[in-house]
Amino acid sequence: MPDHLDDTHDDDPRDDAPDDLATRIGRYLDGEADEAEVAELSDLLTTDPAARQLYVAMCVGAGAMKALAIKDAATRATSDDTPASLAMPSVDAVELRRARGGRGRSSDVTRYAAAAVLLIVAGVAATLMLSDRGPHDGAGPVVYQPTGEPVGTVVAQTQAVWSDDSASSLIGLGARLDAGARTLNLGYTELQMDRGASVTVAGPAVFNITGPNACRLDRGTLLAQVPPGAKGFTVTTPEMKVVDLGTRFVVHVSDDGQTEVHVLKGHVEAQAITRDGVVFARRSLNAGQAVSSAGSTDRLADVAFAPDRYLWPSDADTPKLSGEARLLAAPPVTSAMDALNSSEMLLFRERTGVEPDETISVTFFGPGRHNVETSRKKGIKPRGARYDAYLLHLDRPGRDKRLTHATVTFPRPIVGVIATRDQLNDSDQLFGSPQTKYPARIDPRFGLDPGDNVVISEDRKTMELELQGYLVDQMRILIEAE
Amino acid sequence: MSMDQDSVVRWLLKEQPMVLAYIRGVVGDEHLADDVFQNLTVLALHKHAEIEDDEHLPGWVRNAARYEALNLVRKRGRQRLVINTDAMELLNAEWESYDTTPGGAVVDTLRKCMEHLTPNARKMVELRYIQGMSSGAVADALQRRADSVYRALIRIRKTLAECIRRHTVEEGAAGA
Repeated sequence: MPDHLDDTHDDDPRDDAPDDLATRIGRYLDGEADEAEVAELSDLLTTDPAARQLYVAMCVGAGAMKALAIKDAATRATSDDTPASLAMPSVDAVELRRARGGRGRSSDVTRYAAAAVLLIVAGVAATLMLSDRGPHDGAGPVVYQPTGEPVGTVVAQTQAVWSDDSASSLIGLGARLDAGARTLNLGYTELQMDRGASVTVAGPAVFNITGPNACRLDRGTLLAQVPPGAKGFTVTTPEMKVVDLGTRFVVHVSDDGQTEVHVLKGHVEAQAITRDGVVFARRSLNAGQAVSSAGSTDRLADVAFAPDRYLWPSDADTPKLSGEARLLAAPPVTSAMDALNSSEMLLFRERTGVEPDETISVTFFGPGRHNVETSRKKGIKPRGARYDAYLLHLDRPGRDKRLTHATVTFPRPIVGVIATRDQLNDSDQLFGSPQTKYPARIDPRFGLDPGDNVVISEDRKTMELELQGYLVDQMRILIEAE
Repeated sequence: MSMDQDSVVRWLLKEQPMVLAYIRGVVGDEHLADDVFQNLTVLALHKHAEIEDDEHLPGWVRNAARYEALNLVRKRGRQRLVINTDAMELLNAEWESYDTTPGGAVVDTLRKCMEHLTPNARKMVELRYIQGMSSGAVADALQRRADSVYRALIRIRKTLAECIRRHTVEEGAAGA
């Protein structure tokens, strides 16, 4: 330790000018920086290792100062007869004394610890009390009000982030929509058209409901499910017009307007059009067929039928869910925990037909009742086997302790379940959906809790789930591939 | 194997200064950092089974703290007032350099560093950060200009921060 700290002589005029970086950091840590200052600081921290060093050092200084303040407050607030129930166990006192080189006064240690306990107990109690209030305190969301004739209703949304530069930002569940251009930046929304067609739009997408039985898609992916009463439902894109003939189909429009249509059921008529809407080629497509407007100037080109590149696959391969669980029609763009809020468990399909070449670490497998606390990590040796992966996610708004129940039956046996943070991170690259942005290794992420239970049936196809959902639960389920 | 609830909460208590420091670095606000710490404690009570051992713990806590911090920041509409993800990721390596420094040692070192401040500087720190007075109130109490006190406090914080680092991270590395 030096005899003195030379640059802290506050009477020296030189010291009235702290360096710019320290000032920026100080302002940020004190909550005084505005948006531009925060951006500048971010840039500095990204490019300058010395800035990062000082930043963390000043954070540490602030944390230590806070601890001193807590101790001081406790010293002033508590007398020597601190209730025994608030005193910390001796292990902490020993640790703190050791950290102080054995010179600390034991009463200081006790007071500091008592203050820390008080802070935490008060904090925990406050948090629990707040969580009991539920997520819907305060004013409800502002909902979009149509100015024109409504033609459809938003019946479901998952992780939907609408553009905030238009009325789109106000679109919520149950909103009645009129004709107009909409921009969905993230997630997906399901619209029930008044004439009966169901339309799922996956963001990022730019679309326009042009009438009670028609819409335009300029960018993104759309799944249309059209009952007989809505036959003739039409989707127009910059390069194609798709006319439904009683069916279910996926339309995908790339950023440059190139269009693909994949027919899942029934049949459609696909028309190649000019930018002025003039039809110059037609194709009738049946289930299992797909065409693209790319690569040809006078016709629609056949492409491989692969709707699951964009949206959920066919019925036969779809897990059956009951209870408080819901299947996502498309893999989400992000699985970040703060983006997929829902009162139900959400399940989406990730990669299929994965053929691992090394042992996969799973949390549990096989028939029976499983729990992360009692299970032991295991390795599965693939031996040439192929797997399909699904991600189940539960992040209920609010933090009540209610259990969420659901049953999921997969088309083929479950091979193993990955339910810890590290295993999830380790397996993202191999099994994760190419369309989904998973948390980076550094990001917060959680698997199952000790309060969560999973029962796998004897035939290994069905899972009964009982999840606390107090915080975020995630697990990756591997099943045998087709 | 995973850590039991008691061990995790004890660690959080013991390392409270460093955990608060990390959270403060994420949210850039002292009071918000206190709220995040409370939520983090609840989180640790529920998620302790995810933590494998002592070695896993600091990284887990940082992740969890960051999650809670960003969650609260989002709820309060302060996303644009928080340093960006790239910066946060790069900072992680610097945070790791403090992993072997107990929170108690950091506080102890701060105390010693403060002993080497001039009397006026020490008084300023005590009034502003220990007693929680505003910069303006400190200026009044010391009969100095508010802007002069503000600048002096920034300078002192930097000095103390560098002093703590020198006597924990750098000396720890040299002694290893």
